[in-house]
Amino acid sequence: MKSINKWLQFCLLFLLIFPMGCGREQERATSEAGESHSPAGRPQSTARYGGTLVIGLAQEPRILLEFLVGMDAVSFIGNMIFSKFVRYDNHLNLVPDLLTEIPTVENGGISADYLTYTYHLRRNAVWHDGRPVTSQDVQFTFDVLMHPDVNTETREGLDVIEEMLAPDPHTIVVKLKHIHVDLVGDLFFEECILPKHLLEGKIGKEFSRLPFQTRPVGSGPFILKEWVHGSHIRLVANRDFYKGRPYLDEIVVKFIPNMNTMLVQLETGEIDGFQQAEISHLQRLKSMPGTVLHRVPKLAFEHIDFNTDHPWLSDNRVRMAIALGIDRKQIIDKLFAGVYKPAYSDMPPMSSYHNPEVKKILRYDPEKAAGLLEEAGWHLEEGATYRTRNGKRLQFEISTTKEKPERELTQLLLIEQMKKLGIELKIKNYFSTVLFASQEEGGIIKTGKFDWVMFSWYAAPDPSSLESIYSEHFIPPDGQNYSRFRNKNITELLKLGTMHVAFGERKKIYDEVAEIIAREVPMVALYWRVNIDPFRDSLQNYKPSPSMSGSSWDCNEWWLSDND
Amino acid sequence: MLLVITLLSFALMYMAPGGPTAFMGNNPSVSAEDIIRINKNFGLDRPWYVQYVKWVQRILFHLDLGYSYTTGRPVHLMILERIPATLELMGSSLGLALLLGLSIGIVSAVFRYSIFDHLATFFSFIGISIPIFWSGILAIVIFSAHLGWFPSAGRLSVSMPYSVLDHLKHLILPASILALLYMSEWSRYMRSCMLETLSQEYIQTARAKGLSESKVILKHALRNASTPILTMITLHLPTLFTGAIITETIFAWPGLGRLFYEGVLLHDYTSLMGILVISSFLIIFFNLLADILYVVIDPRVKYAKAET
Repeated sequence: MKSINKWLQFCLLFLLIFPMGCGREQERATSEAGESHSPAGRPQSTARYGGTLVIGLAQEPRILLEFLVGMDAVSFIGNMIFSKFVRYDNHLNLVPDLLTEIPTVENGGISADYLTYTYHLRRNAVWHDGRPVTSQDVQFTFDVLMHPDVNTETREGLDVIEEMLAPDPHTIVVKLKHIHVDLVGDLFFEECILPKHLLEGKIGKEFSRLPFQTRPVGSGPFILKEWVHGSHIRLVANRDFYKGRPYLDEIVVKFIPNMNTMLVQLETGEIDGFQQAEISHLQRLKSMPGTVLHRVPKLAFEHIDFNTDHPWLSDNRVRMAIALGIDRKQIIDKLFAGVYKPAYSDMPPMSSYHNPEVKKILRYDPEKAAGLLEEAGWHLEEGATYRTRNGKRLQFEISTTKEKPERELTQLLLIEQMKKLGIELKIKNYFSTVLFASQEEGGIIKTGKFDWVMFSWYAAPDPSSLESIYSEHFIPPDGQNYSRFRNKNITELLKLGTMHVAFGERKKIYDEVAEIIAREVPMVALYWRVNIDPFRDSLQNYKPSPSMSGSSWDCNEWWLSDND
Repeated sequence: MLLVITLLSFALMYMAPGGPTAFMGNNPSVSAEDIIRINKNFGLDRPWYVQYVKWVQRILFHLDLGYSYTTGRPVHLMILERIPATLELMGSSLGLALLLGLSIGIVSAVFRYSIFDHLATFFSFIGISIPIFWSGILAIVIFSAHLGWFPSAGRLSVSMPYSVLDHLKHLILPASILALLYMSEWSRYMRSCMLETLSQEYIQTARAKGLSESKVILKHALRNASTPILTMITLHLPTLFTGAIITETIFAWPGLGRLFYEGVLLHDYTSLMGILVISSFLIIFFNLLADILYVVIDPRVKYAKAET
């Protein structure tokens, strides 16, 4: 009995002591007192130095080199550590990063034949270990990216380069094999500049196993201090940053996979903010004192690709009827609290290539849709719910990824909307790794084993990438024309678009492309994603970019108003 | 045995559609050639059985679990760095569950149909039926958001220097939530084992001999009732090293469960196989240990030599 008594006593003690042992006091991010001297040539006279910003991130990056893994979390932290040539700002304009200016024909950066580009690097750029950044590093980075043993995800914009010269330590001259319209926006936009002195001689099969991938040295505004895997990354300000010392002393990125937990972390002050809040949390976030909700229109849009090889979907009238029967407003209001924006084409509304005419063609019109289906021979019998033709019911399967509940909810609304038209829609979803797998791996999209497939594309700021989505030369396995859309006119126009450089001429081409796609409907765009980034109101100058540059493109300008 | 397990898991993983590079298919600028080139660099273009043989060779001859497809880091390192956090969470929750679960079970059995017994039954059924993804969030909302007693996630505060108190505070919520589940199960189990033993004739005999009730329960009943309990606990021990997927995800705990879960999502074959091979080894090992412990605890169990 003695020992059992002790046991019970201990249990009781344990229960009593522990809640008391933990006080009620809240910990807050402590920060050093900010330095008071004001920076030269900075617009914000009130901006303060110092402080630690703690940001929650749902996904932990696997490595920090963007050209090996294109993923938001990698870009977000990678942009803090590394320099690029250019970045897109919050208005989708290209701004120079490591460059002194964006090369144009006017400033002599681009030759008259569009085949030679001259880039000037900033002279005060240094690596985090103090060595200067030179054109040698840029040349070296290019060699790394093109090395056959290096797993560069995409060589778009790199494969057109004939040679890269470094006439002096701060000048890079790029000669192209042929015209590439978006070279300035493509070259070293996602690819970070690598330090030659640290990586030379290590390029080969072993590259993907170098500790550098998770312990990188860059030349960006923040220096990686520690990475506790599964927990957080700590970055400290690079005092020698070429655009001036960042205002913040430290940025800590905490990895919190559960979004409910994330919300509580913001509520308790354990984090200062996070990105991409869930729409269902919007009401609670609005009622949280001291929290600002930043709305960030993204370049990602949800859409449905029709498999035009499907005998019924090969009929333009059927595709158009479906498109006209989709009520985007209902989807956005019901599922996304009216936050997302309706999408009608591939080009984001803020892009200069956006064609507003397209919306008129694809406006929600169920009556016109019904008329088109009748015309195509699909009739609604007395008392029947679904249309039939020669005794066969008009039905399709819609596939998407299993991971995102919002997609499944969208499907449910689509089923209802299609039912009104007399079309039966059934759900057949897959895990994204299965849906997007390669042809050899039996990927659903690549092998064309779908009727409709719904997923999101990331619209590139320049429309030249549309070629790989709609040109008939890019039907899988050789490209991403997943709807197997065959249109001579489009194929030619898209080819032309990659050759002409003058904006006016290109604008005409892409306006026509958008109109043809709207009339032929190989795909239906549903909505543009708008992120909600909740942050404490003390964070100033948070101006997220809609592009892959993400919200950290100018993290050196962020500052905290309550850091003292 | 290990070979069969690894062969089966390896084959199943590779036969499922998708792979470590499948996620790139969603990026419009990644071409099919890019993916083929990357697969080739990783050796993913070879048939799965060739990859399996290579993998086994590496383990047997070099004790090398290989490199992760997603992080490029050695798998043994990725597993090792998660072990302390995993042991901490699982150890404290299993310990807590053991302490409370067994005590409650014994008291419930001894005072059968008492108020305590009814309450224990009621709460343990609640504990068993509530899924962790719900109870975990509830605990966070109550104890972190409203009461402010505990931090809601992570293992340590990131913005202050290390302190034991801070560490403990982070541990309490996830450990208690996980313990609640084990505790509920084990207390029920302990109760029924104890009840069964208490109804045995030798207990009557012991009482008839005039032994004190405490001696009857602790010396005679508990020892006999503990054999099945011991098995159950020993079989739970491998989780000390494998972690708890859901709890770790909700509480952002940097343990092995989360590493495994992320590995599954990304088809990171090498890190998955690394974790699988270690956990299968532990399960086999602890099964063996349970068998040996029977003999030590229960003199009735003897492993006889095969008769010739």
